[in-house]
Amino acid sequence: MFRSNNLTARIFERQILTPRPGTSINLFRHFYENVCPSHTVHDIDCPDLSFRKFTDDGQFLIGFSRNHQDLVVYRPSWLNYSCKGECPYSLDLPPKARRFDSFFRHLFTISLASANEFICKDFFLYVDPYRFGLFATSTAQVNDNAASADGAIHGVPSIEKITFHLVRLDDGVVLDEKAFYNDFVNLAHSTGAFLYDDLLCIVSLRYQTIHILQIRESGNLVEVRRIGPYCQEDDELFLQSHAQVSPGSSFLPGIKQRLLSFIFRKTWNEEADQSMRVQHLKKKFYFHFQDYVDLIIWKAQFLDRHHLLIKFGSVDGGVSRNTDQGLSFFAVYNMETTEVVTFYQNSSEEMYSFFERFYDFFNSVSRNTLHAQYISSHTNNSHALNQLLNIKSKSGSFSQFVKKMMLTIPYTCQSHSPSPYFDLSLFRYDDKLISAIDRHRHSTEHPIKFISLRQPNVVKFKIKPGAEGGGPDGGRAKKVSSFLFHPYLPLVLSIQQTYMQPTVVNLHFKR
Amino acid sequence: MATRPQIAAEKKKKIEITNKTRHPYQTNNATKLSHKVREIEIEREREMGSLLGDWPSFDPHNFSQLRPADPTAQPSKLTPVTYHPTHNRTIPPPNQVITTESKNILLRQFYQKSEEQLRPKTKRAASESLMPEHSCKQPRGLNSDA
Repeated sequence: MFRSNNLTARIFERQILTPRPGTSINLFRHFYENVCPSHTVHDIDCPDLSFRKFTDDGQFLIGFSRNHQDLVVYRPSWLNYSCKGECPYSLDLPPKARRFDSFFRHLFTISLASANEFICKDFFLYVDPYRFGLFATSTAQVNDNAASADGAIHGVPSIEKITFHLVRLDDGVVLDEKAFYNDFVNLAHSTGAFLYDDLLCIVSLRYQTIHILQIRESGNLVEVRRIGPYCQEDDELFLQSHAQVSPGSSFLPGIKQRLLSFIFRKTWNEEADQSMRVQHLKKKFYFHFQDYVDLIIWKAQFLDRHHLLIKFGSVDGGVSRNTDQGLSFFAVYNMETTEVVTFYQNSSEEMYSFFERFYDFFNSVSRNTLHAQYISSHTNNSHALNQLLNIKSKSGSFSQFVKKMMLTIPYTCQSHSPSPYFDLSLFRYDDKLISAIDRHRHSTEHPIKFISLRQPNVVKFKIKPGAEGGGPDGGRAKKVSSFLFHPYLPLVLSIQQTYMQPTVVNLHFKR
Repeated sequence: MATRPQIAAEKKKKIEITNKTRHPYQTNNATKLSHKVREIEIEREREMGSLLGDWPSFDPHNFSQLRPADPTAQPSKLTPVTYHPTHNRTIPPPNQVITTESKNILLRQFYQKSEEQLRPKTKRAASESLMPEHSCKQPRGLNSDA
């Protein structure tokens, strides 16, 4: 803990201070209290692009063209200028400071989508060790509710072609592509895919399959496994050569078999009395058998290299993004042994206790990526935990509260910004106006304040998303704003979109 | 070890000797004398093994109390005070290797709960509680003190 709040004093203290073992990075992050974005350039003159985000290592800024067909990548740098003679601190910034390219250097623009395809603006995953980016293009969505012959299920729309592109961000070379035909993957905010180290899992909702792909260093996307109808690689061969399956009947999908057998064994062992077992089984298992069979995979994530956490639910909840608090289930599946390890309902108290105590492990990244380990959550931060417990005590019904919390599991990969300005041990900010999760929010006229935790009366910096002076219409139109924080520089882009008006981009940085 | 008065006395004696043996034609060379005295002192220090060797020092009697380090001994190889335990209850098993558990704590919890769920529950729950939970712990009194 630094003894003083003054930057110079802290620098001198850093020379002689030995932090407690393992906490050196936590201590030096306190310097971000002194280095904050203090100056705003309103309505910076930038190209008309929709900016997506800064990559998690801070090397690239990703944007898409307005027609959703091109990818534009910039490298963030910093303004530098010189002045003659004495340079007082209060000197105005040169006109160079109002230009976008003083801060960002254009690297390349490539066209990812062909004529009838569009880049999905919300989808982007960054493969950290190799500096690759994963993008998705798709054709238009067709709400075809009829199930086709080859195993697609009812109720899920179909997209003619979804292509995942692996691009090397250093120079813009498209390394590999993987296409899915007449399929549906939930691309909004990268929910349908999860990246763990070099393993990528993509959930195909229409065919109820989880594709596990490996990203090689050479840039190839290699399909490692396909879980859904079959669990092991040679299941399909075995069944076709041995089973005499009449055309009418069919086997249940492999993963459903595993799930049902787990539920059966669990229900069988719940009842101690042998004579009552069959009754118990009838009541708990066979009564709900068809409901279990009708469950579909909604979302999946890696817990480590061999285990998947899969969320199951009913057909109508899989595609829609509404926060429907209906029934859903979680299953932990071991890919190597093809066993279902556990199975919980979304209102389960045990599952909630794991959520409360071990939430950081749902945000699973390998230990090599440093920045992801400092994202604040209620597991690693006492202030966030207090907030959670406050909400828990204020909520009327505990099971409703648990269901609401379970909506955040499985975790959506790379959805939290690693910027230290969101660190709850350093700053306090209004969660509804701005947060680490990159979603559009309704913007307010008032600036968003970031208050230092240690000095509760001191506002360290403010971010005012609107145009200077409130905008031409006096702020009556509905505005949506989004914020892009650089992972380690005091540089923030705030983008405000108003209906039927040009987008306003502001740049906030430390002078 | 010579004390300061002894050194001073010897110094005085040496000066007297040199004074007596001085040739009448020799000039009274005070510096020559002081050099000789200095040489004697240095030799004395060397005999005593000064830590500073023949480094120049303001007062040669400084650091005269220190014993020199044995040049063959490494300072890092100091033998620590050895501790002999009086019992063998805390001895680790032989050939023990400590490694990091590959499953993270969340997965370990899932597996643990799963084992509980799948274990057949019997009516004789009372007898289960007699089984020790931690088989690694040994009750006191079974091992005689070493």
